[in-house]
Amino acid sequence: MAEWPQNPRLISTEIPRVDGLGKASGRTKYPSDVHPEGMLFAAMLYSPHAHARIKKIDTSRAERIPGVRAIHLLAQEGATLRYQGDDIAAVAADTEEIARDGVRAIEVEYEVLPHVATESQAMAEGAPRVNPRGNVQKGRAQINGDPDAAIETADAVIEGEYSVPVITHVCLETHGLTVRWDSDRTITAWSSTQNVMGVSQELGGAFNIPPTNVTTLTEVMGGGFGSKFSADSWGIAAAELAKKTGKPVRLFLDRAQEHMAAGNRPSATGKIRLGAAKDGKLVAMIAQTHGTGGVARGAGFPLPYVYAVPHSRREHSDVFLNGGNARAMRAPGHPEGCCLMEAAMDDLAEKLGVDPLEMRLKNLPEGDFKTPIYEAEIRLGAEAIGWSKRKPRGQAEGRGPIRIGYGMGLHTWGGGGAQDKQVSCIINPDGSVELRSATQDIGTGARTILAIIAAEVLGLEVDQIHSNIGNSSFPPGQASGGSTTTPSMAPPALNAATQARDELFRRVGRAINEDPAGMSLAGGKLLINGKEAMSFAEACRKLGMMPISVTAGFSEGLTSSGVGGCQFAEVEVDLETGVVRVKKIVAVQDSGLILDMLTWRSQVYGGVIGGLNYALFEERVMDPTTGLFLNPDMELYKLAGASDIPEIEVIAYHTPEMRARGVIGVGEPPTISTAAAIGNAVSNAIGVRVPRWPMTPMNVLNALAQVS
Amino acid sequence: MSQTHNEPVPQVACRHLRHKGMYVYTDGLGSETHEGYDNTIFWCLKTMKSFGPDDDLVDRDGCCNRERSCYEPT
Repeated sequence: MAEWPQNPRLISTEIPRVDGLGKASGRTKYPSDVHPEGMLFAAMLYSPHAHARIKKIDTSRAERIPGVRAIHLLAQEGATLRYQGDDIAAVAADTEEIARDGVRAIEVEYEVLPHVATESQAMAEGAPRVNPRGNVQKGRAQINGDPDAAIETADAVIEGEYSVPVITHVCLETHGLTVRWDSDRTITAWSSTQNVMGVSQELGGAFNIPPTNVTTLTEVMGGGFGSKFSADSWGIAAAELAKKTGKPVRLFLDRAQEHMAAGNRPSATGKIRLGAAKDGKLVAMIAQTHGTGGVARGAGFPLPYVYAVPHSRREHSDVFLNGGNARAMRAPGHPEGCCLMEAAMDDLAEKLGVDPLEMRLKNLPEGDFKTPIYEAEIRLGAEAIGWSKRKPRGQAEGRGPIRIGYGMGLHTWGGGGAQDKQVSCIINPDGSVELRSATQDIGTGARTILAIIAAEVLGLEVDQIHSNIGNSSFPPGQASGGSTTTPSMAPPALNAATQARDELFRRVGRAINEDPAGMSLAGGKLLINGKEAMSFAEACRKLGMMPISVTAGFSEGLTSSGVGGCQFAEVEVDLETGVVRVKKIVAVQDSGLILDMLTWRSQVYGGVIGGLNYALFEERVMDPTTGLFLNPDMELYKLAGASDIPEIEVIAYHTPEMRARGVIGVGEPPTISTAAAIGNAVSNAIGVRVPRWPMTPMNVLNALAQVS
Repeated sequence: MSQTHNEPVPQVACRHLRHKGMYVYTDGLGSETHEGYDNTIFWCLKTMKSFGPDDDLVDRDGCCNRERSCYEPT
């Protein structure tokens, strides 16, 4: 069975993305760039109300517009619309402008219903119901030990209410696809998805055709972050329009509907009582938490997160309101749980007069394999940020109204792989090598990772491998979620390349009458008993007319799961304006064997920047009066610009012990603790807890005003 | 062996129920539940939304309810 090489030539070095130049130069075609011949453009009509019933729909005026080719209703008369952005109809036309004219010409008579747009509205006595079972769904309480008695024994107890808002995925390429019926039972779909196989299954199911009759293609995609697993209602609508018109149809959401309807990360609010002994050892936690995933559930999150609390009780409720439904978003639940718990930990450390770093070290679970890893990572991070410069809360240094603060947070994630995926490795008689699998690159560098593995095994350069993914008709590949793509796909890639190499040796050996056992590949050459015999291309010519094609799957010992990391932040806060500037983030991360240090670092940079957005800028703002989403754009829904990005120091915890664990995913973990670390740094700087994220000037000044 | 009324009836979800874990954790039970919390987000293939054809919420328990008018066994 194949093993990771002990002295790799390429693995764990810094290899640029094989598709980087194409993306950077604009040559690469994203699904939204694909324009098959005769294509029509589609646009969506969506609800302008937070809650309404459709009394009447009249499409006749839209149908009469020259260039409008077809209209498909997603909601019928009598249907309930549960949030602004809920689907009503799709219009296909010769141009995008005509499609939008068609949307505007559809006449809908609404019965506007009472709404609940905020959690306080939804939880109020007698509030209008979002679903028949009520607006608050209580989860089963988690109880460990006797928290009520234990907390009475604590030397210090804090009670805080902390919250993070709903944020949206803000995929730069909005959700959608271009779809073409190739016959009355076969479809080609160019979909912006992290799940090519799933899109084929869902489209096939909707039209009662086998999923193998639907080829979903995703050469690259412009971001998904957990929100692009389904064909979606608009994908089915596009296929309906394509069927009606007999032409390919392109339907991608506009930015507003992308914000409103294409998913979000739920909010989280926690009222937390946390108690500890004098030395900082936690004694008990009692927490009531809630959050909203809009019209859907899914607002659960872990608490007390990575820390060991001997006695705890946690009660959680999902709150339903008239907002777009949540979808999985990069490390679902973890950033929320991390922010709330790390804030409480810092507040308790301050009350005890204990260094928050030391308090964290004291409360890691005893006997857990991750604890010594965290200890090492914390030491590395503290050194890199200059933790010794940190002053206790309220004593921060600075100049004029500026105060400098330091904060930290810990995180964890699974990141193991599925064990049922396949990769084909094809070695052609002309010396070209191709890998095939029905996975896709969500942006993590999956295509590059597979090429590195094959190049390592075959003694070639990475650009000599055609890493062909993003096609649902290839052998089953992993959906890109849960940081599972690399650990799911790396073992079959290694096994396929290794088996293809061995088959090459066997067939070349037969052709030249040499023992395959003495053969090896290095530097683009075939070696026999360590001596150069011929080039790789010459060896492949010995195959005659028949290529080698091997499809392989998973094998044990190549992957693992369970990672940890910590992040530290240095911030400057202006006490007069409330403006926060992050000066530096240190991100220390383990994830087993790192296959490509460059794409790995890219994941950490991206995760940190996503976490910085969560910390400082992002928030879905709902108007309680109208029930509408007030900032569904990229002007008032704030994201960091280049000048907001601080120095980011990435430290890979990549020891021999970590490498021996095998491959583990890293897509999600580095985004988890950034906002927690920044929140703690802000509180350290200004001397008071800002209990509500994001750390906007308003929230910072409000926190200062509470104290003054 | 016959089933007595005290034994729990195995819950079989409607065949139109979907969640992310079904696509990601394909080698197991398709579960993405965690110790202490559950943040699974579901959708229905009939509506492609978090509400089913019967206008009720799509979720793990509700979509195992054979009494729902839209329930279809696997």
